[in-house]
Amino acid sequence: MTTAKQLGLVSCHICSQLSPVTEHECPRCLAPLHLRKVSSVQRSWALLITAAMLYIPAMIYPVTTVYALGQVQASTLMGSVVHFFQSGSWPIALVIFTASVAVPILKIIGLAYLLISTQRKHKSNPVQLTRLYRIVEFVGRWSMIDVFVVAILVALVHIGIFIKIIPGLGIMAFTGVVVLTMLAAMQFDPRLIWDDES
Amino acid sequence: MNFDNLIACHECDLIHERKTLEEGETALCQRCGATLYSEKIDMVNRSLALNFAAFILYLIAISLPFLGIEAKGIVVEINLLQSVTALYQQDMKMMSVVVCVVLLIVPAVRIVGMLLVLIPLKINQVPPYSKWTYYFVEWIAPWNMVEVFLIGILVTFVKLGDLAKVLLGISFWAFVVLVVIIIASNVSVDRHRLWDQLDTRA
Repeated sequence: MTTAKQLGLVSCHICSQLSPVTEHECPRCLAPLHLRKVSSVQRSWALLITAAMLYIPAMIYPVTTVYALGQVQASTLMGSVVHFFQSGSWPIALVIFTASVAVPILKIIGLAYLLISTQRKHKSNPVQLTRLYRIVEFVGRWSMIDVFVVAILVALVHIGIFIKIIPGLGIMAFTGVVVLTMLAAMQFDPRLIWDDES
Repeated sequence: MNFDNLIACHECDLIHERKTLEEGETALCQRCGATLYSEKIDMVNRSLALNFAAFILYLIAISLPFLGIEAKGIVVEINLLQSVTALYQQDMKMMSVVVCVVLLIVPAVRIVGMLLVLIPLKINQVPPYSKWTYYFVEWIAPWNMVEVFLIGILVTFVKLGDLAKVLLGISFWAFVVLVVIIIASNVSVDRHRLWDQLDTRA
């Protein structure tokens, strides 16, 4: 089991061409070469902590305020899950709960676990950690569902006369959470999980 | 030492010897199971065709009415661009920029970029811009979220269900097909094999 690092080779992160570690630019695609992503763990932590802090206003503040038939109704992310569940559309309640409440927080916890694990000397099962990384990477984009829902609602209804939907602070914070956790996952370098393996 | 016949796993850095694959085969990392490279069936022709189709569908999707609602006899229609501009007008500037990038700009750049790379490749040419164009297309790829938007639309239907009747425009159907085509074009290309073809070094 030999790695590129042990052979003194660096793999281009764009085109996978191998070059000696002394090279600074990939001879094939001209991308800058780095043995591992630059300050991967620090950058990932910074983005992740910011995302974790934004998760709180994203859950507390309303994502939309609906003005309909003389009534004003502000709803949070959890509030709309409860509303769908009570009105019988539990599949939609499940989709929103998974994408907007469960996935972001599980992603933050999962990424934090990955970062702590790679910073420790003795790593637990690297195969499982790599699997966790793949799940975190794959799942992140699906949290954007609620952001799109608000975008379509606001666009469709803002010209309307009876109903008016105003986007709230919660959805802005939530957009921040999704984008920041995606950036944090991209900064993480899975090769760090394997680096001390022999 | 020549290492052009070697490849390192991009997820665990393990060195593998490159082997010639049959069409449709995929090489996986021995240690972590990540996909190393695969030999797609008729890669250039297929992805060229899919990106052409995507190009036309994209133009239809952004220009014609997308969704409408009907409440008490009044019909309001919007196109895709308005889902971005409405947010901007509601003072949600940051959000409108994010939605605009992941829904409109990234897919457009990807489709046009792939066409710019693939058309010359079809006639066995690699112009100097090919490398950085494909580099850029790969770099923005994770931010292409058209399929997530489609699920967002479905949730919106249910959400508006008791308030108004939702009407589907022509460009909605174009968008549904566009999502399928974009996913198909993503899996029709293997990054490593395409880079091999763009390699102009002697």
